[in-house]
Amino acid sequence: MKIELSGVRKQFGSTVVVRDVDLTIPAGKLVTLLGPSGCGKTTILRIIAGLERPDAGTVSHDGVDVTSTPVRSRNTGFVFQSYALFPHMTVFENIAYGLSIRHRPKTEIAQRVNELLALIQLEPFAERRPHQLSGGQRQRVSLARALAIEPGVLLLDEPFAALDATVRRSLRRWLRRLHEVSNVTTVLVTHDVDEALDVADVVVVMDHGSIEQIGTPAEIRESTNGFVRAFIDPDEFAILVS
Amino acid sequence: MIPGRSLSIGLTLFGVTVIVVLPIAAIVGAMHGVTPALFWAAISTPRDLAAYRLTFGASLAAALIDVVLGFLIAWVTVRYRFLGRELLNAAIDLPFALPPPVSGIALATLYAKDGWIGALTNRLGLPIAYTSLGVVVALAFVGIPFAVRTLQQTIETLPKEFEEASAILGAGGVTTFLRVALPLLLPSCLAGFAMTFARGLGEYGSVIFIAGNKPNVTEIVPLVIVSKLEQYDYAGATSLAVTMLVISFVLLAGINVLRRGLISRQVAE
Repeated sequence: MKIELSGVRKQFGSTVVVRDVDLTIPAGKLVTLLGPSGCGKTTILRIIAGLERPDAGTVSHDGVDVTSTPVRSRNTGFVFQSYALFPHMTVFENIAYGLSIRHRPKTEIAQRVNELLALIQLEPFAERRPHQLSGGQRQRVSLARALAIEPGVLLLDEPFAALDATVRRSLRRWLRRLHEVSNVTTVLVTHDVDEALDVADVVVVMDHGSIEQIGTPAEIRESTNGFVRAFIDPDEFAILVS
Repeated sequence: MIPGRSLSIGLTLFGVTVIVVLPIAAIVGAMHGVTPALFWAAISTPRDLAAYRLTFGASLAAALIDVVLGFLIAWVTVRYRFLGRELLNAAIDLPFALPPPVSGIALATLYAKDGWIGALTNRLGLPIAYTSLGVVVALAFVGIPFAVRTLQQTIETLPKEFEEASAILGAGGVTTFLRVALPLLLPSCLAGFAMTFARGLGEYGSVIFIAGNKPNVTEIVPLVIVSKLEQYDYAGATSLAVTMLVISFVLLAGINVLRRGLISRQVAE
């Protein structure tokens, strides 16, 4: 699914968080939104999902204006930094949730959930509850839950930020492979430069609610934009200004 | 480990003993000289049985009303910003602060057959003041702050992400409420229910003004206890008190076990 934002603006109180942003997310690509905290990247993700309504501008999914489409009708998958797994449900029930509220037949749900459990390699954990899992396992369940409804776009908000470095690296490689297999359009928000450049087809660098640069990881590494240079390589920047 | 473990446990035990255990022990101690036959006679007259039914029945009804109404009030005051929200929030505590007789007299006036609400319900053939319904009304009034305050705390700490995740997965508001928010708030509902219920069992001051206090009909257990005391029937009063103590303790402990069970299924951290 192709996502287009045009002239999107959002402010909370007197703070402008997203400043008239135009952005196209091509179908089937893995795009990272990279920037320091408070740059508006999470807000953009929430606007795409419909969790925030832009003050100005439009959002379209595959050319259809969804600016005023309610969250539940947008068919997006969302992975929260905090996982947001339902604590009173088992792993199986969590993954099945989206299908079960669509009243799909029980056998179909079971089949789909088992496929996803295999995909995230957590088959023996189907009857566990979220609090019995490690952070990395919870994040995989959260991803499976988002994928269960076959979303048009997968949105990930700092999905690996709460995990330790080793788990983070292996999970992001796994996510990249998953993307190559499924080809579902994916937007990943991160403040981690390595992560953004490592997994993405396209990197969008943001600062203060505006886009500084859009490019492939290679283009971003060779960037001549002052902010981008300073952000991706603070050490070099320190040498330059001294 | 923070130092002072044994000191703080010691102080806690001392405080609990002085404030809670000793008074209760005194009630049980007053049973001295009451034979089993005397005890049974004192707690099983038709008048007693009617009083149990009313006290437990009305407390149960009031607690149910308070949990449902309290849930709504708590949800609205935590989740929505509207004119008069702070005022509403402050008003919730008024039943805490009002002397019970004042509440009782106010409610009796309101629900009497010429009162604002009483006139209306009497015309519909449903008198409230001086009936067992009046008892429910009084208990619901004094209990509502317990239900609201308990639920507000939990609703405040319920992460919004759960509801957002549910909506993104395709759920409408009602589905999200029933399948995500309500199950997560159920332990608090039970806690609010237990507190309101317990408050109802012991309430005296406000009820006696609106209940009419007809023996066998609208007489609550605390009133029976007081009237026995007034007749110098200390053994009878104490027997009833101990009976209430035991039943209440068992019920509250049961509710607490149920609540713990619900919580342990959800969170471990």
